[in-house]
Amino acid sequence: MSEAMLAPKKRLVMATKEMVEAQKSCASAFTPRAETDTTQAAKVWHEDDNFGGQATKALVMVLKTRGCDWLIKSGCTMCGYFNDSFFDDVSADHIILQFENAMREHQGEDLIKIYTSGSFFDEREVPAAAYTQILKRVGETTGRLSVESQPQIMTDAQVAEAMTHLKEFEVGIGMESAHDDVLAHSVNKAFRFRQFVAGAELIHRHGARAKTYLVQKAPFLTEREAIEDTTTSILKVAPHSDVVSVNPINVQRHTLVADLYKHGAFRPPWLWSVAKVVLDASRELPDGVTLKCHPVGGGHARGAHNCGKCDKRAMKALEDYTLGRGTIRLERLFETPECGCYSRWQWELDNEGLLGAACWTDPVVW
Amino acid sequence: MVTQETTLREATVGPTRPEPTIEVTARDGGGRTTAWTVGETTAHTPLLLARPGLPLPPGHGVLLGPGEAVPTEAAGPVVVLEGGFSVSPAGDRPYPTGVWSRVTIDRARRLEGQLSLRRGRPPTSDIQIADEEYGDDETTDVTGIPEVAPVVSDEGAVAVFAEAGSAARDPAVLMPLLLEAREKTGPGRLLYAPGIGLPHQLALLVYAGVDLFDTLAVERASLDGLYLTSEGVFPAATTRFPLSGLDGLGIPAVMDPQALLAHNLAVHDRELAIVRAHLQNGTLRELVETRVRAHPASTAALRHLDLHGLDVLARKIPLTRDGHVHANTMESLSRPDVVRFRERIRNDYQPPEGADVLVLFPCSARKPYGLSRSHKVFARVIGDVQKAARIHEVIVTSPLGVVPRELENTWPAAHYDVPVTGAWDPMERAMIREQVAALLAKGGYTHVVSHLGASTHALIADFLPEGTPHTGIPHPTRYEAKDLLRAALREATRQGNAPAWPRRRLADAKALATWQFGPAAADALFAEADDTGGRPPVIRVFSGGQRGKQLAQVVPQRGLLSLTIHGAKALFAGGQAKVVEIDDFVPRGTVFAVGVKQADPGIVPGDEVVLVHDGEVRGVGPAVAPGPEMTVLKRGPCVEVRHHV
Ligand code: SF4
Ligand SMILES: [Zn+2]
Repeated sequence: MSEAMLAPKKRLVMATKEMVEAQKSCASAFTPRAETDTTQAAKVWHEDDNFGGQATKALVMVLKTRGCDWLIKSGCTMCGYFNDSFFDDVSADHIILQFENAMREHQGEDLIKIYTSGSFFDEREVPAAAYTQILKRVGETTGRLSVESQPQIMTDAQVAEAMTHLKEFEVGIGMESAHDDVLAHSVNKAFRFRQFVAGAELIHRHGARAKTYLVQKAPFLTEREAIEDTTTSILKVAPHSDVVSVNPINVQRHTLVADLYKHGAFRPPWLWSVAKVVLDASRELPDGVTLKCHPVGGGHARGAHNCGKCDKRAMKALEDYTLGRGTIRLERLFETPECGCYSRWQWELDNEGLLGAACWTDPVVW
Repeated sequence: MVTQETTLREATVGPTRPEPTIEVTARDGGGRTTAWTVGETTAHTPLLLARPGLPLPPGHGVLLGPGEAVPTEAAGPVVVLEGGFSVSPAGDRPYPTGVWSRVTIDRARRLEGQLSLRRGRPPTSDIQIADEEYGDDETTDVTGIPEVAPVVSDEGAVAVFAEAGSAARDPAVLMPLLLEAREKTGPGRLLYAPGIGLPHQLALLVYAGVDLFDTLAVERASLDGLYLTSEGVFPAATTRFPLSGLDGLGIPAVMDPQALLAHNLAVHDRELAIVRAHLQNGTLRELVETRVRAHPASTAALRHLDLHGLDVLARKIPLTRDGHVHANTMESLSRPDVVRFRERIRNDYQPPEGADVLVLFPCSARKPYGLSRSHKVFARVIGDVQKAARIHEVIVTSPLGVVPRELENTWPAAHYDVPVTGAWDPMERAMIREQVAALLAKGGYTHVVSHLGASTHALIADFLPEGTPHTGIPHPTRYEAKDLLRAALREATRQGNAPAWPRRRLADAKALATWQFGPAAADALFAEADDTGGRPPVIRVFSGGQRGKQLAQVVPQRGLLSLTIHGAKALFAGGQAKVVEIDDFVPRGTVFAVGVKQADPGIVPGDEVVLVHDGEVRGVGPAVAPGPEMTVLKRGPCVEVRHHV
């Protein structure tokens, strides 16, 4: 039987299996770094952040762990976190040591942000002993902590325990899209929207805050579909979130997205699209929810980009909005597009679906 | 909708949709022109499907996306793409099949033997799919990468080659996929390649089998500021010369986007007309070889097509036809029709029995060679030799390699032109050596005489038998060379006997038959053959003497054996005929697709086919369509009947 004759659902499932297999092999093509010192955090830095509506100074650390459990099994199609994790058997002691060593850099910042390239609540990544110890230490110092996790992994007990030590607690959830179709067939996410809603409820029940990360332009979406996906996702997750962060997909090494990109089958979103999403969603955002967008790699080929001439202008407009300066620059962007690539972008929105290619990065001139 | 499906509608959409018909009006290479009829409307492919509202002259089709309204002024066919390419947040649409298959193919290639897992990790061999809601069958193991084939829709008159856009980035990927898509589509439907085809690529894409194009690639290139020509692509910003007058726009002061688009569309439209004209003239290949010079990657694309498409294309290209082959370029060496000629020489051809003295001659500019001045001189020298019936003349040439004299009127031997420089390039050298070696390996020659020019002789001298006289010195056409040749031939034929001329002619006709039908069929046809008649180059083949049954005749115009009913019966009785099963009628004139019940899929246009009804031979004549098309197409001529019972 030819592929085209398969029933829609069956075909979808086959394609999904293919995607999962491909994503897994992308990750397996990756060779982990040589033995490194797992008593030192991968990275430590200071930054300015907006935490619970307050401009705050933060100490940020990326801890070395065995990495996201989902990524080991399968992994999301755009996630290059294994580039920063996948250390063998990092013990609780070593994780505590990493944390303590990083805390030596603490210069009175109000906020501690801990990234683990996975789920902070997953005991396979951060053993319970280390979890408790870190919470205790943060409680003794600033009392304000920000971490990330998949929502279905955290337990009531874990969040309750955290709140006994902390004054303020923010949990970031990489939701990516509020649409289960996109999660299943484009992102290969380990959870679905309803699990996000349950997780966000759990977080709020204990008085913690939820920060929801969304992607823009999961693979296999056209530019237009991606705009629709992200705009509606923002509005769907907003009632369950304190902060919504829109992240245009950037091409990270050893991912399925990188593979698609290499073959001209994936183009990171246009900054025009990102600006449109933020502008459209900002008009309908419920009160008390903060929308942020800081495109990583913006203006570069592997990140959200326009033609190269007008990228700075769009990035500035997004930055202004994220810093709380309103939508004026975003509006002006579309009132006076000023750049020739604007019509190219519009053409692509209208025609990409007919092309038979997800998107083309360069014209085909052979 | 999962796969992209196309529906053909009439310009005005009515409640009933008539069954579309496709009639092939001309063929060349893998390409064709067709008349595509829906209801009252007939369009001619290769056809351009334009997005509504573009500045184009009339005569093209219209391409609509899902849900778009049919423009009222549309005169040509309207192709509506239904369904989408990708996951829609609202719907249940899966991936763009194009992108997906492309990725998988590459992946399958690269991943072989490379699936070892990360260091220090337990292997997780089962594939995890996250959502339990998707049911049991989703969690079954998938071992290996599923086989990938281009996805074409199964319904309607138009098959969409959905991969085209993403595969087009790399011609090495595009060409095999395109050929496969063409095969899957079948001759009865039109193949549409969305989003590809700049003007200079159209000839090649049509030659590979695309029937329908759209304007998307041109629109996109225009927005990217590219100035398109039939010969290649330039950045408009650096193009100092004015826009062509094609668009009727004169010379705009600046290259504004609208003028650029109008120019590019006009060039595109005109190029498609040129392609159609060449196709109907039988010179599409020559056009392709010219156009692919636009870019090294275009030339590579043609080579990939020849490489992957040799068999597929050779099954569609007529065995004989009018018109010359211009072997202008290196790619001429790998033309499927030319390669087919050489392959038949190597694999099927058996030299004439009793002709055991081989003489190698250089080719002549004039074709067939026998009409040239040099070959007339050679003929006179051979005429001076008493036992000339032992001599087998073979011409060494490019791009055909070796052409035995009895094949000199075949196509393309009698119809090719090469730019003669006297020096062979490395590819030609290798090819000529291979062909000469294959001929010598067939055995049966007691003597070889080389009357080649010095450079050609040197090219093959190392595998000629020891002591082979080289008589083409100082030059094959010089007086001294003539004498040398005469002496060498006399010496070579001195001992032993020559066959009688009628027998030798019979052997020549049979040698031609081995090339034309294959050795087994030649045996069947000549099993009872015992005499010849006619004045060369016409040869009539008889069984039971000249007053017996005539089996076949070699006519110089075609250069091939034409069968009589007796010949057809002999082939059919031997189980070696290429058979077309027809309904119960006496075939006269032309047999059309409606009358064909079954056809040998190996039939190539130009093949002698035997018309059979219910085990009974009814007629014989040359095929005008490839076998597979005779059964699939509902209209169009299939066999030109020469003789009937
Ligand atoms: S869940 Fe998060 S860390 Fe894990 S693979 Fe997905 S994006 Fe990466
Ligand atoms: Zn721009």
